[in-house]
Amino acid sequence: MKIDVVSASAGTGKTYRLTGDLAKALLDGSARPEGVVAITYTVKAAGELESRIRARLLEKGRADLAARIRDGYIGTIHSVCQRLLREFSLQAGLSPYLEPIPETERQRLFDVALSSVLAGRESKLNELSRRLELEDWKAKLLQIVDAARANGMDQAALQRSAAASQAGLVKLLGKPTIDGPTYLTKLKAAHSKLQPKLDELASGTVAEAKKRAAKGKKLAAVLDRGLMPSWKSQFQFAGEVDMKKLSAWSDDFVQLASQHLACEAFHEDMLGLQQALCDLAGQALGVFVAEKGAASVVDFGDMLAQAREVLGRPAVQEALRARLDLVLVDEFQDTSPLQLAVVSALGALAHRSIWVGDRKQAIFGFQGSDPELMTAATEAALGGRAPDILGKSWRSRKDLVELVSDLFSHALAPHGFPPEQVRLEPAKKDPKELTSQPALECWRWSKVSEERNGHKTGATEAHALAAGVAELLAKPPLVRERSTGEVEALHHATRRDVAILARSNARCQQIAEALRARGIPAKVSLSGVTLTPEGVLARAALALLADPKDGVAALEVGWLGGAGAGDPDAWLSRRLLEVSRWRAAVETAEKKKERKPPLPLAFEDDARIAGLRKAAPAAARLSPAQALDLALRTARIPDHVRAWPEPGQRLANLEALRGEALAYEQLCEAQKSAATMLGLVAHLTSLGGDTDSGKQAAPSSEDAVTVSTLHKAKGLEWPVVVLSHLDFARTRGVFEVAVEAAEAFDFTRPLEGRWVRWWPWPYGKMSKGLALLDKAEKTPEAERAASADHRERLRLLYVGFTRPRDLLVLAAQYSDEQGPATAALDLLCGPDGKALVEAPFEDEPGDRSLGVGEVSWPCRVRHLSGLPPLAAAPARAATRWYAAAPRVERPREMLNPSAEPLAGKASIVKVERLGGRKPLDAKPEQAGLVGDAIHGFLAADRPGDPGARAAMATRILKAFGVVGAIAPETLLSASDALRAWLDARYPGATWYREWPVRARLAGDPPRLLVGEVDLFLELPDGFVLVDHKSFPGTEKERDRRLVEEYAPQLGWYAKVLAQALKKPLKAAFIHLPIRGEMAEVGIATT
Amino acid sequence: MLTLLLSAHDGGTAWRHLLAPGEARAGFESAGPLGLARRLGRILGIPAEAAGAPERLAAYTQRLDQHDDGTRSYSASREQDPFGVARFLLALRDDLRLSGWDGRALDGSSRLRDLAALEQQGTRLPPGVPDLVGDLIDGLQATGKLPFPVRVDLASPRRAFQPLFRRVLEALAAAGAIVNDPPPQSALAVASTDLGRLQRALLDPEAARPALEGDGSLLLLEADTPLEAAEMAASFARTRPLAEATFVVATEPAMLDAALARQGLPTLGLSSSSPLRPHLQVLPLRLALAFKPQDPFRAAELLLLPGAPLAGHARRKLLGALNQMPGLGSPKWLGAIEEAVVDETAYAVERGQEKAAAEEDGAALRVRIEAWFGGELYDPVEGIPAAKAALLCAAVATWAGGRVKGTLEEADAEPESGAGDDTSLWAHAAAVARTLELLLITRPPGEWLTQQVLVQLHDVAVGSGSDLAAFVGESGRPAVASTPDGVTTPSADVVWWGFVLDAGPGPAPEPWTGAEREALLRSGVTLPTPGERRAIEADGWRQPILAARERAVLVRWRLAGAEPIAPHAIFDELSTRVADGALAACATSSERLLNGTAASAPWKVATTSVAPQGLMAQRPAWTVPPETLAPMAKLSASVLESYLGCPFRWALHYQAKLEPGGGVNLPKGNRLLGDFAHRILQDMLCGPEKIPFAKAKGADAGAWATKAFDARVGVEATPLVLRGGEVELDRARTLVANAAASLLEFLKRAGWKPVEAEREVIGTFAGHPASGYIDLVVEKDGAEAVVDLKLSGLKYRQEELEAGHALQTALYASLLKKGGKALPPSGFFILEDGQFLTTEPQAFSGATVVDGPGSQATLKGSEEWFKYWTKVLAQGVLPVLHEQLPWAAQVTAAAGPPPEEDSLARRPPPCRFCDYQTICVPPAIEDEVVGP
Ligand code: SF4
Repeated sequence: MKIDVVSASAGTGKTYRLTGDLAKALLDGSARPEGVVAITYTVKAAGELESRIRARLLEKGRADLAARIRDGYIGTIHSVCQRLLREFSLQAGLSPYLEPIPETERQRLFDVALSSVLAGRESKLNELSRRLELEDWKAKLLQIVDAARANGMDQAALQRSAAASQAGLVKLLGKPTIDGPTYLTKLKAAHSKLQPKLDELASGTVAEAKKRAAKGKKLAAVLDRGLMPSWKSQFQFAGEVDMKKLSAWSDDFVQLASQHLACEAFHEDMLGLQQALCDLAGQALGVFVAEKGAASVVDFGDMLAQAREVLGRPAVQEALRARLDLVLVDEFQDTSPLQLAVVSALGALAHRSIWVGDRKQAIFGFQGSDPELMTAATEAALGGRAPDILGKSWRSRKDLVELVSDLFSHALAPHGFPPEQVRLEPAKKDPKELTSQPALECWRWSKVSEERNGHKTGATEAHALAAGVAELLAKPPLVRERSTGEVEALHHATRRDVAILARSNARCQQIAEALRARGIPAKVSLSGVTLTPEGVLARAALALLADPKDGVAALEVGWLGGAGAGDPDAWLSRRLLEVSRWRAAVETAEKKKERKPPLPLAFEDDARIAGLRKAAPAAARLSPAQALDLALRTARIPDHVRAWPEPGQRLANLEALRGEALAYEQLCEAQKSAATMLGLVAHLTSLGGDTDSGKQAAPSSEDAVTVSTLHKAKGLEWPVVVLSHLDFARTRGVFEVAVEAAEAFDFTRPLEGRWVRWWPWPYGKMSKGLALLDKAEKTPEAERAASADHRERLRLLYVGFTRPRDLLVLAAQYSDEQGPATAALDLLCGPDGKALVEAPFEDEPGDRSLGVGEVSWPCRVRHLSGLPPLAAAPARAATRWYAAAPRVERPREMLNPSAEPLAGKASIVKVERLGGRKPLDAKPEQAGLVGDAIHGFLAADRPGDPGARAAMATRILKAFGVVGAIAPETLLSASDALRAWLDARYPGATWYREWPVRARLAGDPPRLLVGEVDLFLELPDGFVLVDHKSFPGTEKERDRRLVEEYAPQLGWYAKVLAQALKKPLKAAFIHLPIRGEMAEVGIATT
Repeated sequence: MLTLLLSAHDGGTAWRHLLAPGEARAGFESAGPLGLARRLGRILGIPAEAAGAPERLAAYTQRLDQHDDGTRSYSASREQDPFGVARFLLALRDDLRLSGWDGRALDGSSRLRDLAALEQQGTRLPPGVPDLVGDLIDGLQATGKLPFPVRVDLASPRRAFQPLFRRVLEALAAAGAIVNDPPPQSALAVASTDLGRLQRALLDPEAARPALEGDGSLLLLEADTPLEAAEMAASFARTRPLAEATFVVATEPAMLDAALARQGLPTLGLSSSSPLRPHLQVLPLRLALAFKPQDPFRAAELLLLPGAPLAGHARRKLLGALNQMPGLGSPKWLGAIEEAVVDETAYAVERGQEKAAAEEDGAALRVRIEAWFGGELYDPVEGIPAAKAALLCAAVATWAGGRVKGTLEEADAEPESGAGDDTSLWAHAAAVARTLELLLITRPPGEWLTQQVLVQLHDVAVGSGSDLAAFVGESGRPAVASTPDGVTTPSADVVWWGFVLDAGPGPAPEPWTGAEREALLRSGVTLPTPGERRAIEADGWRQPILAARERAVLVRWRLAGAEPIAPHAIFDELSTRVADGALAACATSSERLLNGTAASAPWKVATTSVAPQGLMAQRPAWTVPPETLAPMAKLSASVLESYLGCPFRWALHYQAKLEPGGGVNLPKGNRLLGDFAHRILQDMLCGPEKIPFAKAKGADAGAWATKAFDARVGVEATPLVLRGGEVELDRARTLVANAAASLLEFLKRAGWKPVEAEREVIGTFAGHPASGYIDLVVEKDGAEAVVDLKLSGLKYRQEELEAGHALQTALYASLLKKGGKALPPSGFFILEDGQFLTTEPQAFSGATVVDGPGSQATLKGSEEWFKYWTKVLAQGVLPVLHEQLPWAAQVTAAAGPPPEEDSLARRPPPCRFCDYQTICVPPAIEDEVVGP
């Protein structure tokens, strides 16, 4: 096993290197395409890598290798694991058809799993959680389970974790000094001393006094039941009554509550909940996995855990050792512990591994990756060798490369990053035209407000950013075009060259809206697709299709469909009047004791709505996702939203909704439950606005500014990047579920010794004035958490600073008193804690400079207004859309000779006896099959050995399941009779049985005929057509059928055969083997 | 001579370009491997019809039953997924057979040994494709010579056929057939065109990489969405003779057809099969309802399914019952059944039936309801006896079979209405139910299946689901191929619709380990060399481009759902075969085509102008005919709250009767628990088995409520007992028990006695008749008081009382009043907090007192507000009171300035609970940090 490590800072051409390494290995034969494992961070990256390699191999003329690339394991770690699990499912004892499950289903299964281990403990846990104000302990439990799973732990490991957690918590809490019952008694006493006073004060007019009294009552309700109120409520209440004028009554309470930390009952609660949840987590762990196994589903965690387990099996190892040549891991820094275990297990089986990544860009710690672990793993892998460092930036302008090098080599130095892993050289020269254009800008805005239309309107960063972009693009800077050339071409920046980065999705959405308010389209990954107007319209259209009586849906379709656009009042009035009239009619009917008229369906005069209702029967044949398509079509929603602002976004959102419909269908299949239109409507309604569900699509088409979170910007670049939301500086605390590292790292067992730590947080959303927190923050655990967090945020900044190619903008709120609100930048400090960057936020607009230590770079300053624009967004021009054309009635392409007989009159020429009536004992539902069997036999039967012929007859009857309905001998004799009869009349003819005919019928409209002729006989001067009919019925019915059905059906065949053979029809027969007759018919051939 | 054009895949109509318009051929057929087998079978008298997948699976499962002793290579997996493993192994077995395995013993791994052992187990399997093909080869060899001349022209190279089919070709040749390998490929388009250049470059890897001009012979069309791409493709299709084209349609067929139809072109008539059509949902829903607890949402889905069982009136009543008490078997549900039976009888009488016969109809309905929703219930984990499940399947099959006839009768004659389609769908639904029945019957006697396994088995029976009706492509449509390599015949134009990355991974990678491979090769199995299948796949991708004589059009989209999707993998090959960036000359995006920035439109695009429209403006007020806004004859508290809260909402709901549809609104969460908890507390205090109030203590009340809760929750509030909800259930139980104790203690402490629950009270409000139902009427010293029960929302109710907005309690107090001056006292009991909220401390000692204006003032304020609105509405002005909208000038014009902002009359609109939010104002975004 050999591991090469490539350290690739941002913009150093990592992908190029990766592709190059892989292509080289394939071309020199050291790796076979099917022996390659290439693990990327995203699905998209996998696709791109595959595509690049394929192109590279094709360029080298190795189409053979290029084609085989798809046999390799290229994908995200999860897809690679999923494939491994499929391939080795039997070895792993898993279902061969494991399906990944969506998050919602995962939670449902977890709940179900939990129900089988709870064993009545829910009451106790609910009660503990009440006292510790843990709103959703199941969510916490799942977090613990997931953390354990992500680190390859089992029940025993969790038990060890619980003990270690407990030890830490015991230490934190110290020794209790008041026992529980005493505390509770005192609490009651203190409360009953206080409450009457509060009640008394509440009778006055002071609102606060009333609120206090009510809160006290709430405590009383709990105390009355002999229960301990939640610790938070005691503490909080104490804070509220801790005032001078109440002190005579409240002092006891305040004093006691302030000692709750020393109360034994508090300790018991904290430790009890911790213990109970950890115990439960340990038990749930296995059951959860089993529950998923039984449902043949896996979640992401299982894929990894099970893949790791499978990779440990000797048989699998042996199989893979023969197969794997090269394991390539991209974005290595974001590998989670369990992923690391999988990757190293794979690496151990392959000849060679290459890990490519950049520790400075590890930003997914919150998703469970552990950069410190990665550092240890990398070092162990290198075993003293130096990593291969890519030292040139192909991305950014010189100034930016230098700034980042200076800034981050200092800022990262205390965290174990030697300068050579941080500093880069610009790979390209700046074009001349750029030398006078600063690569940096600072945008500032101030918190002001203004009275507009009677409403107070305040400045926001979102609006300031929009104003900044508008100002920037009014005189657009020059930016470089991406190319492989020495010097790149330049153009003036347009919207698509600009990206604004923020910390949260919500902030991104606000920025996008502010941009749109100025008529600047924005490309943003938003949630809440069902809340957009097009989402509401589409959902409502579907709801109407599912339930034509849904009045709210009709209202939404009508309103958003623009029915009321011309005269909304008249539109609504029509409905109101309609109902008034109906009411009157109901009254009259009631008086006359007649049946009441039904309520008229709402907005039936709206073509869109009426159309949807009319389409309901068609929808009744469709799957839910297909029904959504039908709703979109029927309500002409795509055409309609073209008229709205940002039509590209709206059409894309309709596609996103279609995606949701498929997701719903998949969910139903995963849940193995029914899928209905109604279910889809409910599903879409449930999506709401949170980030994980109901994503909006990002259209690629429009010339729009990109707005993205910093996390999502990883791996991307833009000519102009605005870093916003710099006031954001939230940290993760010591009371969150955390995974603690082992004391020492062992490369062969990377997960060994890791443990999950969790201390319950008893104060809900409170965060100030809490002794427990103060104490906790001084623990080594907290220090570890804080420093890990600090480092991660620093890396996130590095990611932000390295996104731009030509221009980096820092945007912040500014006030004279406080200066710039750039808490996020505070992390950029030297070992002395002094800030490294001096950004010219306080300066007047114009060309200034930004400094790091001794060095400074030109930096333009802009002052922006954060108030929303006064003017409405500029008017939009008309857009175009594909023109519709009237529908033309057309027949089906395939002509069915039976259903569409050739025009003309058919007749019976004569009916002759042919062996006579044959016995038949078929049930009605066998009629068709008997016919098929007769046809089958007549097609294959040739003169010869009667034994073999009988065997064939039996075989055919068996195949059609009609043994007994008709005797094999019957078939033989019918065939013999037919042959004799025809041979006698048409000696020497060539027989064609079950003969395919194909024709493109000319004419308008053109048709296609695809059929089989039962039998025809070719003679030098023409042909004879024979059709077998197994009809067994009466003579009268026979004659009717001959004239009305059988003979006309032959018309097309006769015509087409005449054309194909270039010979005329001599005669046409209907052969009735069961009746034992041959009927000559006259058929129309015109 | 019979001529067969043989390609590696079945289906498609590209062959038709071999025929000139007006041409007819006899003895010509285009077929894939299965078509070949069928033809041969007919010639040889060996019917080549494979048994159904479920039937084969059932047989193979039986083999596994016998063979599995718990130590087999598959045993552990089989524990997890018995039918999945059977399917998996059977697929391996078929694949090996197609690769030439003759069923003899295998070595090399336990898996292979097991497969071989299974092969030798028991009687012959119902035949699959490899079995049939084996028979045909034997038949051909036995026959010696074909009865008439046959020629097979291969449209794909031999290696594209599986080994067993290759042996068929050999056997055919041995029997006298002529088998022609495909001719070497040549470029068909004129050399001076882009297409011609590309074709030549593809065929000759040594050739220089040509530049392309964008002459329209090669088009790469792209748009964001399939929807837009379809319109774009259709717009192109309008300018070409479609009948001379071939379309490759691998995905999104309906989207393309919709666009073709919209632009007046013949549709392709392709439809994809789906296991999720409504017809196929009846069975899984019925099966789900056989397990306890019966999920009311599943019942609602069944009731609302298009073509669902039971008469419309009965379905509506049952659905109504679920909306009130979501549980099958609840008092409401039982009541609904009784009502439905009575109505069914009455309808029968109305139709002129005799009374006895009509009653029989009613009784029959009861039986049907029982059949669909009743019957024995099973624990999902313990499972259901296979035989019982089979009975359920049989019932559904019979019912669906009945629909086949029904739909035929209803079918109208319009050819394109597709009315007959349902027949085939119902027939399929019936067949699926029968298949599942069959699978269940073949299980060993006495076997129980967990719900999970039953559903897995159902999946097997459904297979890939049902296609829409038979093929309905319209005349004049292009030829169609469902995969690129299905373009077997050249044509003028080839359009590759859905030129996007395949979702599937293509041919499955080699499933065998090295050792297994060797063993198999030793046993005469022909395995593909590494990359062989991939090379064939890549050859197939080139087909659409090489088969075009005049134009090749590749249509792609960039988004699939909300995710980006890349172009088809062959795009990489195309880019590397032409000069760098040359393909860009041939690319056109819909956006540029539409906004006129495409350098030169490669065809004359028919477009229309779309005038920009704002999204519907938000309106602070509407003007409508005043007579439509007259309040109803009798006001109830909820109507009044609505009227005072937001007249617009009131008008939409009550006057325009725009109510939400049924089914999606089954109570859940707090609404469900609230209703249920109310009933328990009411019954505890006033029901027929009420608690002995005088003697009872808080703890007794808690115990009473707990007992009632547990006894009733399963039928009256089923969602609470669904598996996985234990934690919430416990919380709910605790809440109700505590609330019961607190309420009882509170009433006793304050000296009140319960009198009546849900008492109807009638009176007037602002001169209008008004009525309501009081949750709980209590009495002390002959005076009565109003107790309104609320599940939660302490803070909200406090504010309501403080602001004088608690109209409900005030109105009830006024309606309860029987003379005297003062209003009876009233308040809210909040279950979650066990507190009683009131503004009247003197009446309720121990209550949480809120400083509010009291009922009288609340009533007065409300009356004032009511009168104000009545005045406004009398002018036909209908205000919308959303806080984001300004106060409408029309309102002031109609009725003068409104009462002061903080007067008792004013109240906030109930937007949070309103169905019409989307009409008023879009939701605002909260700045909440997500992520780390
Ligand atoms: S959302 Fe608010 S303003 Fe709109 S109708 Fe409903 S209650 Fe009235």
